[in-house]
Amino acid sequence: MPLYLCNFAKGAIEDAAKAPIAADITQIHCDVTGAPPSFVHVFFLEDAAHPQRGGKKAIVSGTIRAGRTHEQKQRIAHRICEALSRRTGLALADLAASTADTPSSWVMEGGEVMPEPGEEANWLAARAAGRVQSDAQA
Amino acid sequence: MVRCLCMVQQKQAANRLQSVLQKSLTDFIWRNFRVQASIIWMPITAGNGFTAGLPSKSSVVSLTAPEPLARARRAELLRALCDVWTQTTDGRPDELVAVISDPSTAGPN
Repeated sequence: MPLYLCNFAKGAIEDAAKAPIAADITQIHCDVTGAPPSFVHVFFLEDAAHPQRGGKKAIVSGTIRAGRTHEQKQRIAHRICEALSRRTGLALADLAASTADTPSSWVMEGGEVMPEPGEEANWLAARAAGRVQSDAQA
Repeated sequence: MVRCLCMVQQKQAANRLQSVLQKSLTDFIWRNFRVQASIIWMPITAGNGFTAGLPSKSSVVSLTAPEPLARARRAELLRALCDVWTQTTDGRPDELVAVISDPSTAGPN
């Protein structure tokens, strides 16, 4: 977590553009929030029922850990639309991006409940230590 | 009825084990909530899933509990859900994002 779902109209995003867009979204999320890149998932869906596009050619819907400011969330959405436009040639009017909050305690990754924003370094260190321990026991 | 959304990388073992995982998840939901499950399986086709900007091995399993959960109970259920998934797929915990939301607010599903 975060999980960004990019739902696009058939043909609106070429296959070759997906990796660069995913890299952009990852970079944007990490720049704005300070989260590590390893947390960021980006999945592309073509003509999926959800998240609804609402007449747009592509939308990005991010589920992010709660605790970010309104300004941070606006900045993420704005920069994602700019990146999508740059990578696809689509007009900004054809794109939309938004985020929704999920409490960290509702999510588990790598077998551990996700940390609150700002507590990532300790969480990653504890996970790495646990992995070393379990590898040693194996 | 508990709705459970599974987004699975098409080329991962989990996708080949769809029917076994669906049964395991249905059993998990019945065992813990005593309600039927509606499993929605959504394969992410190759070249469409990325983690840290690289091709992803991560699956996402997201369900909404029928009632609000206390923090400790949710953590216990999340751990059990991860165990069901990794034991069935013989995969690593790193390859699963598990979400259990309260009913008032939907998660990524």
